[in-house]
Amino acid sequence: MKKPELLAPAGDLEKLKIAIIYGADAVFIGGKEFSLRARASNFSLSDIKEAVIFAKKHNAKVYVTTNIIAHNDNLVNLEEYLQALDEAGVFAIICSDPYIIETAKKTVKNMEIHLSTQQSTTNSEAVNFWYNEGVSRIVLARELSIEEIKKLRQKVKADIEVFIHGGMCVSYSGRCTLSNNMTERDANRGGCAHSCRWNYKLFNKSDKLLSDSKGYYNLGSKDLVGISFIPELIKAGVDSLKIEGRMKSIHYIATVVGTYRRLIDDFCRDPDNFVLDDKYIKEISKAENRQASIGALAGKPTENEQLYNVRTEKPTQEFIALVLDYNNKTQMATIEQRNYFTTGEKVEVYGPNFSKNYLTIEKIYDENNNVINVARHPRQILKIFVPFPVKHYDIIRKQR
Amino acid sequence: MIELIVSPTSLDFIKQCDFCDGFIIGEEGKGLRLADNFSRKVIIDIINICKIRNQNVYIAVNKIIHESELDKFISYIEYLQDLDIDGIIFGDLAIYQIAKRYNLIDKLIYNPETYITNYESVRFFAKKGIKRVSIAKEITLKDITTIASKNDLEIDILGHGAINMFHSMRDLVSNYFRFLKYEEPTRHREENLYLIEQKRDDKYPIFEDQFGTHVFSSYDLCTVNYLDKLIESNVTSIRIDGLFKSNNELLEITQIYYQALKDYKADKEKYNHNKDLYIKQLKEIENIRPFNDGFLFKKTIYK
Repeated sequence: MKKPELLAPAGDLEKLKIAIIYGADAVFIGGKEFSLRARASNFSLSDIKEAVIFAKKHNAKVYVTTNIIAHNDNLVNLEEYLQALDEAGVFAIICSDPYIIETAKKTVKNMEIHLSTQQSTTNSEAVNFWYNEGVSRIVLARELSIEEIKKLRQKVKADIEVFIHGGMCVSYSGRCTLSNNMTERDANRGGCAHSCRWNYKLFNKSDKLLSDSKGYYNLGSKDLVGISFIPELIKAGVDSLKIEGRMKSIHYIATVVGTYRRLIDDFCRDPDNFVLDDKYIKEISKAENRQASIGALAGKPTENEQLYNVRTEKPTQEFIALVLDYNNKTQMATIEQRNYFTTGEKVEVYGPNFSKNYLTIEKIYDENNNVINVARHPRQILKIFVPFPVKHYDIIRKQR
Repeated sequence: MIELIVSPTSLDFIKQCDFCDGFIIGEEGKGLRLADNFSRKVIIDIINICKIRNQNVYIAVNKIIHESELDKFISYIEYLQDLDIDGIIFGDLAIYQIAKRYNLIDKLIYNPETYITNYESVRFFAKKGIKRVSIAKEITLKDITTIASKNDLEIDILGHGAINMFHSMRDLVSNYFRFLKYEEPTRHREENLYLIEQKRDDKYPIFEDQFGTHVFSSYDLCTVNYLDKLIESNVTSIRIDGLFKSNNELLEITQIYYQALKDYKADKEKYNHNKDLYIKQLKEIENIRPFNDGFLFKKTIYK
């Protein structure tokens, strides 16, 4: 079975490293120019260089989003920027605007050109249009069902990338200007105000209220959780499985990437005997517990895929510290505090390859080797005794 | 001179409106957000009427096409190749690929609603050999005139009508009513409902049809006072959109634009002088949807 790429988001360098350590084959990041998600902490060119060096060391690739739909005054310095990305060793750019694609094709030596989901590509003919333009990979629209993806995959030469997890546009992506019209923020240049998730009242022509008098109507979609479709997507020959969420925390990235890594590996190792049990979804709920939906993967979405009066459940586990180092002799781990914790708490140490170990926190030492009982300072560097080996980037979390 | 194109409300409207330069018509299931749809038989009748009156006929085939629907659209394009039409309006690049095989590229008008926002992407499509592109409604008049003057390709824009700001494949009205356990969740399908956002007063029309759910701006875009700028920068055509309008409203709006263009052609001063009059006449139309400048003088932000 051909193993697809697992592609993860990264909002900053730390998240990028976590995504790669936890099993992403490639990560996508935004630069300071030409990128959507203008409010995500985007990467400078020197950050991008560092990202590429780290990724290459771990056999992973870096993709940079240059996916705005440009206006006339966004056209300057594009060539220089693309060349700089190319020289930095970026493996691919993710584009939507035909001019950016055309310019990349002319000026760039090594980088692949990928078509963003913002172009809402829903069929093999449109895939082939872009493939003929030198686009090697198409990120499909999130409107396609698994049956349509299978059919499409057989009819195209281009690489195919499919979203498997994360936030969803409810509109055809790139074709929504709710935000432009309601807030003057341009959705196609990174200004999306998520107006689809706001509260509305719905009326008929004669001004009769049709929406619930106590609650509000909204248009928004629940997040996508594609776990149950992974075996089918792999069998269909999809080349890349994409997780959304450049704004998400490192706990989320580590957990979601780690889970899909394990799921893909488990399935590909022995597809015939693979059983999709609930350990994968349980794992993800430790870091994020928003109500799951399957988007359009099973066909036209129903009311179950909508965000009506959704209660957000807290994740079942709380991220308390990141492991920075471990001394095998003394069995002391150096950790960075991320949330309040105290001695006596039972915690789980979660690492790459789905590894999990448990301990009770005994003594906590601060930077000056003073014993403390409570870790209350964000990002404080601490030491704790851990009776089994742990590594940099392991995550310590406790049950809520 | 600029071409005045109308997407009509009915066959009756077409019969009455013998003075505009062309119509956008479509078959059920192929064209999005049309005020009316026509059978193939009626489409032939319309073509015949228009040929006699020297009006252009444009066929809207602007659905976003899902993989499973490709065959249906291939046979439709095959059907269109034998009709005496002046253009095929499309929003999905699949139609470009298909039309190429039927030598129909020079009939194609690309209208992807939101994607054409700079002069370089227009140049990109000019090189593809198509007839015309429609540029996005969310850019400024200055951007529109820059795009038009920097290109030889024919440029089309929305002249007067509602701005579609949202299209989902999902049945967002009946899904909601199913969630609320209403007895007839699909009762309001295709009715013109409207939304009001919690912190705003504007009314946004919303309806659900076989293509999913569509939401529109609360104001129509009105360009009657800027026709001079559009003509002088080389814009080829403006569309008057019949959606949310009665035959009469649409006819009166079209007449005012027709008169304004006629005035401009006769005497630019006269057109300038009459600008207030056109607005006054538009406002006097019974039940006309409120209108404004849209994004013509409003730059969107994004950082």
